[in-house]
This record gives sequence, structure tokens and C-alpha cells, in this order.
Amino acid sequence: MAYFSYKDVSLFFSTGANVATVPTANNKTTVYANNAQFSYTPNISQQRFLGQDVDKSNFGLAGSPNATLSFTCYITGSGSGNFNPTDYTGDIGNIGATVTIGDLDDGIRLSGLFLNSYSFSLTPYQTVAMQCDFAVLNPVTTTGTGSRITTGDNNPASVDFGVFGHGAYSTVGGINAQQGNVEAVQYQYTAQRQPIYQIGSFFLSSCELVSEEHSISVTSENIQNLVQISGNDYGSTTIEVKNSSGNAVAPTITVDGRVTAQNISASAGGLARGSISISQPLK
Amino acid sequence: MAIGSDEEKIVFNGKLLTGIQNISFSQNVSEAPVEMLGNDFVTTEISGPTNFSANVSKLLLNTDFLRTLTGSTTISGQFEYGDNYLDFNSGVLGGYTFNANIGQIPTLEFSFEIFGDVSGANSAASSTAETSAIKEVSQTGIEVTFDKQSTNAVQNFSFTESYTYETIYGLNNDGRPSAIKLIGPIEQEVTISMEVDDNEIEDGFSFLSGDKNRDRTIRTIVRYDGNVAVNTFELESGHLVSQSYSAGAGDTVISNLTYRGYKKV
Repeated sequence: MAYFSYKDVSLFFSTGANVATVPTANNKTTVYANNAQFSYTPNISQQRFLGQDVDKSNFGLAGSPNATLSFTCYITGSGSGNFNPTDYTGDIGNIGATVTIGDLDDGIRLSGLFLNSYSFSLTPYQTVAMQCDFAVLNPVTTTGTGSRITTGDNNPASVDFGVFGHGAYSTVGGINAQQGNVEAVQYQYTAQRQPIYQIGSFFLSSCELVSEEHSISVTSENIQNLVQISGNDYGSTTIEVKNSSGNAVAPTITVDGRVTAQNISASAGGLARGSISISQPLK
Repeated sequence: MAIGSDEEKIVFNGKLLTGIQNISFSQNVSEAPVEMLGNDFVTTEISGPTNFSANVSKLLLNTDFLRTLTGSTTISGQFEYGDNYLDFNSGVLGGYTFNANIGQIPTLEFSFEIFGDVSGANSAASSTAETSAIKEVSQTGIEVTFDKQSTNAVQNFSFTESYTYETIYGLNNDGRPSAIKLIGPIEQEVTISMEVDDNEIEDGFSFLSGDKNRDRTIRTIVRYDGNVAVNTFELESGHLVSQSYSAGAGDTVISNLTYRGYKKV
């Protein structure tokens, strides 16, 4: 087996969050990922029978596929032909997304992907990297040999300077007045989904969005205000992730929740800092 | 066409500095390649604030003005060279080094970090002359006090004070720092080079003892006309951190001592 350089392992999504069509050279969504992990554990278990010895034939299906695809990516804009996790939130339908890892024709092909969570940090001098976690709800393969990773020939195109969302150009609104200087914001979205399978098929029948929520943690200046706001209805906070041109690369995120945690830390030789966490259930 | 040193001026906080020997500015931009799965290079992105620093070296021939800027986070100024003007603001004094050698005018070297704007200007900034005029330093005008006998002739005295700042950046602030805080303690260090006469190296195990002197008086005073002490450099809670002795054929015994002290902000 040959080793592949990271530059030969592309990651492409289908053109849409709920599309079974596989990505092609002219019809794909590019993921500008700087790392990716695919994990697949076949959901099988041993079946033992009274009066019989066991061997490798005693493994049988024990549940739905147990696979995940996680990656960290930079984003350029929603609906731009480039991947953006905000396109995959909420109730997207019952098909899910389709993905190719490596070569578009011969690489690993995954289907039935649903976004379970994504998160990112916004700090003044960092490109916004979004950590995305997808559940893969269809089997990778139903044959004895699976798909394989091969050298990709449709590499993500180079882009101009400053096209990715970056903390230097992004803005946070609604929270500054109370917390003073905002040094960092961590955002997290999570969704709980219930896959439904049908007897007689390996594949997903439907997928229900059970619940979803999002939260932010804000590290800021005015720690003296913290104690008074525990459990508080904090009001609406907005996050706009922008690039160097001042263009938003994702829809404005609005978190209108309650303060669920707060902390203050101080260490010798440094400044005391405070942070609060605000959560909002969405469904 | 070049610009001669007679056409160069430097102004800090409205003071036109005198006795300047050297000025340098440098800028480092933090921009890094973005590497991707499927493509080893797609673009570059800003990866940190741009660092801008300035170094000023001067002869210590008057009551120094720049040291009065210690702790200030709003230092501004202008460098004028020929018909060009470079304005800067939101600067801090990062540290300075005083150095005195036999038969030489003592020097001061300052390093500044500039966190604000650095840009060209159309005209010279208004300034006033330093209130302390340049005066001559006599051979006897420099006095060194330390914890050894005066029979051990001091050849060189160097005093360094370094400041640590925490620069805080925030969102919605156009990449400029939201706050700059001087964080203590301020570290001071003195190195002394001397001809050894009756001095002995200190016992290595004595440093384990709480009785070891950790509050030594280490200072130098620079005097001008009328024997007035106008510049004093002194360690606080001075303690010895290194000592070396060297002897070579055809040479004298030389000792180098390093003391360190810490000052509260």
C-alpha cells in the first residue's frame, strides 16, 4: 500500500445537504479542510447457539452503521460551491449528503451524512476553522470489499488572499456593552437525530431531527460584571464571520439564550480573565 | 540620492531628542500559508498582529528623557528623514540598556514596541527641545557602587531593565490592541567586568542558604557639571546570579559578575 500525501486526498460533498447524487468534477461542493478523520465500525456481533461451536461465520448484523466523518475546514461563503456547515443544520430531509474522499471516481464514497455538530472559535488574529462532525447513516459498502482511497485529481482550487472567514474582520454584537472587550468567542451547534431503518434494507429510510441547540462561550474583559449575570436572560448575541473583504461567509448567527456557566481565572504574571457560556435551545 | 544624518530627527511624545547615535525601525508581518487536504497551498492568511519595533541608541549626556516613558502605553512620535515623515502611536518602552566603559561616553539603548499606526505624514510634528541640555561627562563623573572592594577596578558596567506587556486584542477592533498592560515584576540585570585585586569567588553552596545576601546595593551614578547626580541606575533586591573568573598568560585576572533584581510595577 502506498502512502498518499495530504495534497492527494481531497474531500468533496454533493451539491446540497440532502442529495444522493455523487460529487463529480463539475458538480461538487469543495471542502477546504486541513484535517479529516473517517471512522467506520461495522455494527456486528457474535451469535452463539446452544450445542454449536462458534467460528467467524457467527458474526451477524447487530444494528445500523456506526460511522462518522469529522474534519476541520475553512469557509468562504454559504452556497458558493464551497462547503459551509451552516448549510447542513436543522431538518434537512431524509437523504443526507453524499461525500467522496480522495478521487472523485474511485475514492471512498459515503452517503447519508447528517451534521451532528459544528463549532468554531473566533479570535482576533486567526482564520476561522470550523470543526464539523457528521454521522454517516448508510453503509460504506454492502459488498465484501469496500471502496478505497485513491489519489485525487480534482484538487481544491487556490483562492485569493483573505477569502476565508477570519477573526480580524468578524464581528460580535450585543454582548460588548456588558462584557467589555471580547477577546474570544467559541460557538457550538449540536443536533440529535434519530435515523430510522426499514426491514429488508441496509439503507436509511428517514432521519428525524429530535433536538438541536447552540451555545457560545465569551472570554472578555469586565469580569466584575460576571457574578450578577448567572442564569440571566442575557439577550441576543450576534456573530458575523467575515473575510478580509468584509463579506459575510456564513449567515449571521444569533444566540438568544441564558447564561449557563461563568468562570474567572487568574494566574501570576498575567491578567485575570472571565468567561460566560450562553445556551439557546432551537428545537 | 541619500539622506545624511544631519537631516534626521526623532521626536518622542513631543520632545525632540538630543544625543542620538542610531535609530532603526523594523516591521514583521505575520502571514502564513493555508494548507489544505487535496492541495498543498491555496492562499495565505494573516496569522498574527504585525510587529513594529524601534530602537534608539544615544549618548548619555543629559538627564535622560526616554526613561520617563516607562509604563506608558501611549507613546507617539515622528521620525523625520529628509522630506519624509514617519508617524507612530501606541508605543511602549520595551526596555533599555545603560553601558559605561573606561574612557568612553556612557550610552543608552532603548527598544520600543509600537502597537498602533505607523504611517507616513505630510509635515513635521511640533516639538520642543529636551529641557536637559547636553553636558560633558568627566572621567570622574561615573560612580559604581557594588558589593566588592573598590580595589577591584571596574572596567565595564551594564544595566538592563526589561518590561513585559500583555497586549490584549479583541473582536470588532480593526486588528488594533484593545488594551496594553505592563505586567510585573520588572526585571533588572547588571553585569560588571572588573580587574581582580582582592576579590574571591563566592562559595557555590552559599546560594542554598537563606543567609545569602539577596539585597545588595548595586548601582551607578552619572554626574555632570557641578557634580550633580542626574542619572542613577540601581538594582532593587539585587542578588548575584553568575560569576566568572578568567586568567590568561600575559594577562590579568578578569572577573565578570551578573546581578539581577526585580522591581514592582
